[in-house]
Amino acid sequence: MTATTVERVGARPATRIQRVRSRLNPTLAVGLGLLAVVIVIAFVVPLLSPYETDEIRAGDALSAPSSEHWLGADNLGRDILVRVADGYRISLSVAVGSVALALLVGLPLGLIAGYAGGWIDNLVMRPLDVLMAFPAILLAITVMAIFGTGVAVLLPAIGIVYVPIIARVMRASTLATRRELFVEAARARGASRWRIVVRHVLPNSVGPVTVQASILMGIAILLEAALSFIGLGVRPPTPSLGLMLSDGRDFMANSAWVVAAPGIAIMVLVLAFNLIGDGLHDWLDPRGRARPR
Amino acid sequence: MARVLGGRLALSVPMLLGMSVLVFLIIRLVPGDPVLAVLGLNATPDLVAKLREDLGLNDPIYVQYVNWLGGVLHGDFGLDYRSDEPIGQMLLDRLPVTLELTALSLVFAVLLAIPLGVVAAVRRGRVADKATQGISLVGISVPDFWLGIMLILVFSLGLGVLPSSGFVPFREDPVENIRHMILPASALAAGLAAVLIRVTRSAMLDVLHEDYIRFTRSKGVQERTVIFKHALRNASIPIVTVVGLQAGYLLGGAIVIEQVFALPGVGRLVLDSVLQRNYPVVQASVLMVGLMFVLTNLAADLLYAVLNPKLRTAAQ
Amino acid sequence: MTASYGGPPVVQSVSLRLEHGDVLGLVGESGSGKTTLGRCVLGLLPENARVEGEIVFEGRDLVAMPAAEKRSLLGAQLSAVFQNPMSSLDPVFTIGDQIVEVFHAHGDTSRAQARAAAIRLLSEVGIPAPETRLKAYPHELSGGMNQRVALAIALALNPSLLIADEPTSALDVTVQAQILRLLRSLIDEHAGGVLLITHDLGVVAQLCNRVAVMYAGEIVEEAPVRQLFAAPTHDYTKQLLASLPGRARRQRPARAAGRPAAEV
Repeated sequence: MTATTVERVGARPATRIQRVRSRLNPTLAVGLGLLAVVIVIAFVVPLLSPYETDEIRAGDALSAPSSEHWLGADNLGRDILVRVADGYRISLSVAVGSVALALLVGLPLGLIAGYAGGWIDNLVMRPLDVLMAFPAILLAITVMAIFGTGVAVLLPAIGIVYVPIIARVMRASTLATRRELFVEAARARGASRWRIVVRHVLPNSVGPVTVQASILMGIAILLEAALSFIGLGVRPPTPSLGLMLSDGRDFMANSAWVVAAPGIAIMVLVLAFNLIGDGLHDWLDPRGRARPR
Repeated sequence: MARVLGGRLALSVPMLLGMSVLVFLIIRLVPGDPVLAVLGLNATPDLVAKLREDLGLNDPIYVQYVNWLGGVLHGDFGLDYRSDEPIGQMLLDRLPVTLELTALSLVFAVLLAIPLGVVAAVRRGRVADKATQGISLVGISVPDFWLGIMLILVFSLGLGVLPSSGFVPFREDPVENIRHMILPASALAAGLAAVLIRVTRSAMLDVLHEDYIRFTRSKGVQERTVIFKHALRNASIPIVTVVGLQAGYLLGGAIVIEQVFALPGVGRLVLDSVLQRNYPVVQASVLMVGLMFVLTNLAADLLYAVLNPKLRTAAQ
Repeated sequence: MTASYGGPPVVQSVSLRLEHGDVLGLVGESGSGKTTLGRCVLGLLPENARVEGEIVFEGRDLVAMPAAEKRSLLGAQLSAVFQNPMSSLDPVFTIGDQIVEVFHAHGDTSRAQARAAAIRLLSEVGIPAPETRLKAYPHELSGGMNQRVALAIALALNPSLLIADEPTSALDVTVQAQILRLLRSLIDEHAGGVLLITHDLGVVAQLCNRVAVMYAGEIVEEAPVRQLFAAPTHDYTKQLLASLPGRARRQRPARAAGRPAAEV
């Protein structure tokens, strides 16, 4: 629609290799770095720390961050750093688990809907649209309301929220690829159209799906924290960053770190996933960055 | 335009119906006997039988659905089993709170995000742009309830200038009403603002490269006018679409924020009823939130039609 | 004058003169730098562009001029129409609003006066029922009509220089002819001089009195129209003329020296 006069001469990367390398951008790098830090904290800290998660030390109750307790201690004298590490493990497992579930269900649905089109497309997507009509947290709460709390329910509860989103992305990808490929597939030597399309759709969709998955993981962390905060998430004594926040509320007047630490911890992890999602998006679609003309 | 609106309304109906089916099934999906779940320790045989009759659980399921739906359409959501209060009234009492919270959040978010997004687009690549994008990134990573807690820490417990909980109806005391809403609305607005900043920036960048912007500049129009009268106006079309999509986020966030700030809204009702296994209330309040979501989307669609002249006339 | 976008110069050492009353055709293929040249004069290049040299307009250098001053020239003494009429006009404002805007940008015309002037302009460019059309949106009009509106806007304040960048290229052939005829009459009425950028020699033949041929960022030939068509001197010009339908020569001319700024 815009008049393109191909006159601009920008500096273009000389070779293909150079172009790929220049696309590994700082956003992605920082995101991966942060994620690595979180993973280290989650898995290494408990091994190195002198404290146990549930170790109640009444004498240390509500002590400020110091060389003894790097992030301070909560109202029962439990070391906050170790609890944050535990909380991270739960958050990570919920994030990965729920997204994995959503992929498991959503990818095939999206593929079928996009490939088949017509009434099958409608049949699959309409209920998913209705599902998308609910705010995510409401849906999760509803599922938890029926089936109870705990990680086992949490994973599918959050996963359900994501299935429509993943299905949509996959469907869009399938549609785009299908249009290009039906001409080719028609000339295929004996191979079924289905197989050809699938073989091309999957690699093409890896990109958008991965970007979406990364962002969804970030949201899953927020959802898990929110649900645990209101008491509908993990079941104590399973640790959770959200639970730490709700427990700590009563004491925050004089001991701000009790709520600051878990909150910042959540933020860092979600930030990591968002950076990765953004970085991946830029990596896959550099056109978005450099505007033509 | 009426035709467009009618079309959207028509699409909403099956959506709402679908929602109602889903919500209706909630109570029927509970593993075990829902009646026992509701009554808990109070379960005497008489009460159990009465509740079963009241809930209509003895009828075939489609009859139950039709009865329930019929009641809902008349505003009869049934009675709360703890207090025998009509649920419809409970919802009505709480609706203004949630509406005010979401509306105020929306206003805060838009007032904050659009100027920042415009600045980021106009000063693309420079410090202002990078800083704004950074703020936006942090904003979408922050848990809104934690932000609420932090705000309470700073403004209520620390500085003591704003209340940390409670609600005062507008009719009683407008100033107090606003004072009680500032912190919750801000906490809820942050996440939305962060998303809107990105969308505004992206939409403005797209628009600023369009031919008509160049042509308008060639008319000698002031740059300020080009940006705010022409570019922003065009960019507002995709922005409004996103706002509609984010309405769900606001409503969902309201549930948690109402908890943090002890606001007596519909969201709080959902939560409390879930925790108490008060299924009829759960059904009614979840449906209400879903309804609000659909209506918000409809409003966004309406706004979109108003902003985009191409939709107002018959398609060529 | 030289202009570049951060790479090799897109427009190199160009030197042009345009007198009042001239319709100068600037001919070249895509990538020759002609559009860049046009935008350069208007001062509407993107941020990554660098310009060196001077552009003298009515005694003043446009390159060195402060932005505010340039803005007061644009639309009044110096105006433009562009290639794609369907995207030249802002889709969310009526065409009436957009015509009136150019009056408001340059002095205190009252709304009534501006509106009356707009109606006059619309009928001058051949749009029927101008009063009702004022309230129309660009997408309600065809490409040809939109281009007429664009011309009305560009010529509203009787500019000394109108830059027309491929004004008919995006239009159907029949509409092209209409717009060209319109341009011819309008130029006589309203404009001092016109820089007509095009790749179409036919358009040049109809409207211009002088022609400059551009290739790979340089002006390779400049001459009065009749002279160029009759006796072209540069290889590239000869190629261009040879490619006109109906005038094909027997042998293939050798490729002209120089490299275009970008391959299409």
